[in-house]
Amino acid sequence: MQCDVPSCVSVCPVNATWKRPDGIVQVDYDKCIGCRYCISACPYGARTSDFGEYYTDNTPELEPYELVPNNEYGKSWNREGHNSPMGNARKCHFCLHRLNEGELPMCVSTCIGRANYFGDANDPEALVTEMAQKSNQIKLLEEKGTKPTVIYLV
Amino acid sequence: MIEKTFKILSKIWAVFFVIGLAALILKFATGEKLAGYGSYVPWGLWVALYFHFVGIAGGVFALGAIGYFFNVNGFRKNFRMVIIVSIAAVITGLFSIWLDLGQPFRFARMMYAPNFGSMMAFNGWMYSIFILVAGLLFFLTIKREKQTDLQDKSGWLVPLMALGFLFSIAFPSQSGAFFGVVDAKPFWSSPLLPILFLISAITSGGAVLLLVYSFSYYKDYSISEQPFKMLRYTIIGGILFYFIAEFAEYSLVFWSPNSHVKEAVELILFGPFWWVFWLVHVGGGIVALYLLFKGNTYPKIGTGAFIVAVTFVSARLNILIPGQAVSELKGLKEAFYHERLRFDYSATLNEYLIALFIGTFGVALVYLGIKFLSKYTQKKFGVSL
Repeated sequence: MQCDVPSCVSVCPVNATWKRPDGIVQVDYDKCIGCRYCISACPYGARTSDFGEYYTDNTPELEPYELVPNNEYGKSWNREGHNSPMGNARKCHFCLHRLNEGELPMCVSTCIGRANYFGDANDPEALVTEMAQKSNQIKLLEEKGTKPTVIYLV
Repeated sequence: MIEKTFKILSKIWAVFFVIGLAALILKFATGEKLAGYGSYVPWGLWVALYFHFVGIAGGVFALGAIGYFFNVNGFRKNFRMVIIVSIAAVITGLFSIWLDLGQPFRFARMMYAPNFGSMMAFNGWMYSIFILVAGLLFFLTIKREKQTDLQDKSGWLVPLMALGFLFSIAFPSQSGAFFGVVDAKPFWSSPLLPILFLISAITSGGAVLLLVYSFSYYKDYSISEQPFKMLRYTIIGGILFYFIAEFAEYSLVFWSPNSHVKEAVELILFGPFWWVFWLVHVGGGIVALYLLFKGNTYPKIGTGAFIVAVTFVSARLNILIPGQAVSELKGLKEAFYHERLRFDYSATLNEYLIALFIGTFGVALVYLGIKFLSKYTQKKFGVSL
């Protein structure tokens, strides 16, 4: 989820989250203090807190893939010792690290139903612009005034 | 009698402190894994305690300043003690919220890189300035002979106290605004919230002050005279006002055919934690009202004050949790299954035990503050606190 008027940004006490010029709302894991105010402020439940858990917790041993550093925002984040992004707020950033390499977000690339479209909605020639004008498009909780930029075709 | 009660309470304190400390060590060893809050209900018991303690800090100071300005017997003479209790409460509140942070060692960013557009950063700065003002006031009131007069020789006492008073009523109200600005939670978007927070701050602050006076100055003042009279009636008035305001808010929801906060209010009154409202909050309030109104001994009045000081945390919980427990996005509740993606929150044992530690920490700060500073002033000026 990304919003044009993100309610999560203004509440951050340390300016650790902001909307980029391209519209993607990102988090600076080095600045985030983990107060979770942004999580409360998001009406979509689109932000989560990293509580330091692993999918293979409560199994005989953690799978090695869980222990490799997290690669996000152009940096390798080693989670050992409660380091960021543990304790931080996290959210979808349209796989910025992939966009920077000219690749699509992972959810678009891997969706087996090809249900996701991604592109520049300001480009009149883009497929997403065409799809966004369809009569069956909806945006979630528009009444909240957040102007979400993720559109659903129902 | 008071000495005996104090001894018994000291033993209970020690047990709670040790158990709480063990839970705290466990928390630091395991991170946030033992906490019950998640990503849909991100704030739990410790956040409620934070608002409770900063409310107490504000209430204690505001009542102390009113007593001082209007020269109510027992306030000018003991204003240093009021400052100690108030600072101890605000530090305890900040300690509580510090424990809740996902990256607690970065808390200082709020001071040197704040976003004042965020109510949290604004509050953080308010507390800091308040501690500074209260600290300065402590040094201005440290000599006993000056405390019987309104002003001190420097001429700074009254202006600073007025500023401190302003802060002390501002930051509990801002706690309400802290929630009120979150448009994502309709239950919190109520203009009544800052008023509820202020009233509960004055009420619980009065209760803590009454408790401290009961233990510290029972030999100096009669239970039926000032300062006890003012504190008792402030607490009684506060409880009644809070109940009326709550009734107004909740009854409006049920009279309205399409209230968008009905689900949250139903959770408070009839949800799985109905007992927090009916037994702890209402029941505790009624028992406290009876004891404070009818009580004629220190144990009765003190018990009433203790009940208010402890059970009013339920007032915070009943705002904090139901506001988060209702999803604005219909269907989100059913969309995912994960322990951290739930809309029902129950504090875990670790959270409860750390809450005990936070409480004992606050009590220790008050006790040690009074004890050490009393020794200091005795040595320096020949008078105890």
